[in-house]
Amino acid sequence: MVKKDIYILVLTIITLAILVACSQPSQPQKPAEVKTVKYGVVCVQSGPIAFMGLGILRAVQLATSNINKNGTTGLGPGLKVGDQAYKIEVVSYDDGFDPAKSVAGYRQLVEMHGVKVIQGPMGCPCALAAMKINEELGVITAPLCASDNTRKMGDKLYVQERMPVQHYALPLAKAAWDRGYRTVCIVSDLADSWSGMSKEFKNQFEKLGGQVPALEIVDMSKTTDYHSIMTNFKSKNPDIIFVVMYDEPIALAVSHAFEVGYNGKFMFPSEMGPKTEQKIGLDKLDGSLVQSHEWTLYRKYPDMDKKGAVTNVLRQWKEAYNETPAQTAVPSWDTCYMLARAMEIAGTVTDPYAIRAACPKALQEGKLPQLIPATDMLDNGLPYGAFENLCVIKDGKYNVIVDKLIVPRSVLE
Amino acid sequence: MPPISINDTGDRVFVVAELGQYLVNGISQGCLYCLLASGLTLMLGILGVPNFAHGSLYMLGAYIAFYVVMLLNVSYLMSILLAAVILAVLGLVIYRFLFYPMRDAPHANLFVAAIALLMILEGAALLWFGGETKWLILPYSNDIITFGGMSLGVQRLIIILATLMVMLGLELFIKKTAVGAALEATAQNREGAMLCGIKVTQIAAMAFAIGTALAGVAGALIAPAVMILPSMGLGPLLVAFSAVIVGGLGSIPGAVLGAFILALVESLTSGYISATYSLVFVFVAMILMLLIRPRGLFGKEL
Repeated sequence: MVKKDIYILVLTIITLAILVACSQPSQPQKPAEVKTVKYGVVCVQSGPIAFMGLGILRAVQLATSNINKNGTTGLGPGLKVGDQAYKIEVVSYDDGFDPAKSVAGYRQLVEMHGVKVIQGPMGCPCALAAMKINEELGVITAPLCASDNTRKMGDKLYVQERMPVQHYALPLAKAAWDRGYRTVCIVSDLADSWSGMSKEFKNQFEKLGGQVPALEIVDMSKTTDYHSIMTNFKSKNPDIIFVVMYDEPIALAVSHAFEVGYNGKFMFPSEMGPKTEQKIGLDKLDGSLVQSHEWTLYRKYPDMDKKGAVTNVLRQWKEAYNETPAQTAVPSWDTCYMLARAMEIAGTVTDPYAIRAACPKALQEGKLPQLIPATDMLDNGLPYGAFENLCVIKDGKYNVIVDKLIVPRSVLE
Repeated sequence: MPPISINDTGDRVFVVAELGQYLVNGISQGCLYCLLASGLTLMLGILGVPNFAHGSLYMLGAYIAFYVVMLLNVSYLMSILLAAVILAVLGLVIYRFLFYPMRDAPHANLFVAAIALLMILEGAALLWFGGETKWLILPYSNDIITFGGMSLGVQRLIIILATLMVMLGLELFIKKTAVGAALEATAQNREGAMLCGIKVTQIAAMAFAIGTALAGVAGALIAPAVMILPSMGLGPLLVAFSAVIVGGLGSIPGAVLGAFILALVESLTSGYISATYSLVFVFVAMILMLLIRPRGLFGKEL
C-alpha cells in the first residue's frame, strides 16, 4: 500500500514537472520591436498663406499621432504592416509657396530621410513642380491642388487630396439659375483650381442664359484691398457676387464689398468658414449660397455629427494648437489616414507603387475616421464619392438646399 | 475711364457716385501709403538708404494693436498710441545697434542689413504670433457711413482723420520747432548740419524713431480693416517706396503727394481696367512721372 502511494506520488511529481516545463518557454520571448517609418510633408509654413500650409502639416501631425496611439482603424497602436509594427514620424519642409523650393523639399525628404510618401505641396504651381520629379524620386505625391489638370499628367504615384473644384461649376451654376439669379460678378484667386472653377462657372452660367459682366482674377496671397473691385461689381448691379477663394480672403473681400455699399448676396466655395463667420457674421449674409460639406456643417452644428469624427478632430486641434484649423486640414487629415491604411493593406512601407495601388481599397473598406468620406480612388489619383452640398444662409444659419452636388464618375476618369 | 456721354440724370448720378467711390477708396488707401512713405523718406534722408524693414515695422504695429485690444482689453485709441511708442523705442534700438555702427560702411552693406532686418522681423513674427491670420474686430468694425451715393467704412474714416492729424502734427513739429528744423537740415545736408553744430547722431536717432513710430501708427490704423499676418507689410511697402521716389527722395510733402497719386492710380485702374494689373499700372505711373521729372516732384538736385 505504502509502495503504491509512493509510486503515485512520484508519478504526480513527474507529471507536474513535465507540465511546468512545458508551460515555460525554452527562451524568454522578446516583444516585436516597433520600427519607425518617416512620412513627409512639404508645404508653405511661412508668409501670407502660412496658416493654410500649417493646416496641412498640423493635420498630418495630429492624424499620425492618433495612428501611433490607436492604429488606422482603431485596432491597436501604430501601423501593422504584416507582422511588423511601425510608428510614424513626420518630417517636414517649408517651401514658402515657391515651386523651386517644393522640388528642393521633395529631394531633401527623399534623399535625407528616405520617405516614400509626401503630402503637399499646397497650391497648383508647387504641386505641378513636385509632380515633375516625384516618380523619378520614387515617392508618392499627395499635393493640395484642386485643379483638373493634374489628373491628366499620367503620374502613377499621384494622389489628389480632393476633387477638382471646377467640376462643381455646373451644379453651382444651375443652383444659382434655379434660384432666379441672372447676373453674377466673380472675383477669383489666380490658382489653376480656382480660376478654372470661375471660368467654368461663367461658361456654364452664360449657357443657361445668365450674365457675368465682371470676372476679376487676383492673387489672393497679395491682395489686401478689394474696395475698387467691389465698387466695380456694385456698378454692374449683380444678383450675386461669387467669391472664389479661401476663407480669409473671402472675409476681407466681403467686408470691403459692404464698405463700398454693396447690399446684395454672395456665393462661396466650401472654403468659406470660421474666419468669414467671425469677421462678417452669418446674419449679414442672409440669402447667400455656400458650397459646403460635412466639415462646414458639423463644425458649426456638432449635434449633426453622429459619428463624431469632425467634433473629435476639432477638440484635439483646440487642445494641441488652441485654434480652429484652416480648411486645408480637412482633406489632409483624410489623405493621411488613407495612405497609412494603404501601407498596411499593401504590406509594405517602402514600395510606393504597392502603397498607391492599395489606396482605393483603403477607402472602399470604409473603416477610416474620415472627415469628408470618399468611397474610392480613381486610377488617375482623384478621390471619389465625397460630394459636397449647397447651403443657403438663412436667419444666421446654414440650411442645406442641395444635398449632393453629384459629379458623374465618367467626367473624372 | 467712365463714359462721358450720359443720357439721363440717373445714369449721371450713378457714374459720378462710382467715380467718387473710387476716389474715396484711393484716398483712404493713400493715407496708409502716406504714413509709410513719410517715415521712409525721413529715414532715407538721414541714412541715405531705404529701410526695407519698414513694412515689417508696420506689421508689428498691427500686431501690437491686435494684442493690446484683444488681450489686454485696452481701448483702440490707446493701442495706436502704444504702437507708436513701442515702435519708436524699437526704432531707436534698431538705429543704435544696427545702423549707427554701420554709419560709415558702404551703402551696399546698409542695404543688406535692412533686408536682413526685414527677414528677421518677419521670421520672429511668424514664430511669436503664428501663421494664422488675426482679425482685430471692433464694435464698429462693420459700420458704414453713406453719403452722396458713396460709402465708407468707419475704420477707413478713422484712418483718414488720424492720418490728417498725424501729418499736421509732423508738419508743425518740423516747421515750428528747433529740433524739427535740425531734423530737416540733417535730412537735407548731413555734413552742413554738423558744421552748424547740430548733433547729427541724436537727430538721426530721432528721425529713425519718428519714422518707425509712423509705421506703427499706420499698422495700428489698418489693423481692424485687414487680415493681420507676418508678411502684410510687403505690398504697402512697395507702393510706399514708389511714392517716396515719385515725391522726391527725402521730401515729406513729396512722399505725401506721391502716396496719394499712386493710391488713386491703383484704385481707378482696379475699378475701370482690371484689379489683376493694378500694381503694374502703379509702377508704370511711377516710371512715367520719373521720365517727366527725374528728381521726383519735390526732389533735390541730383
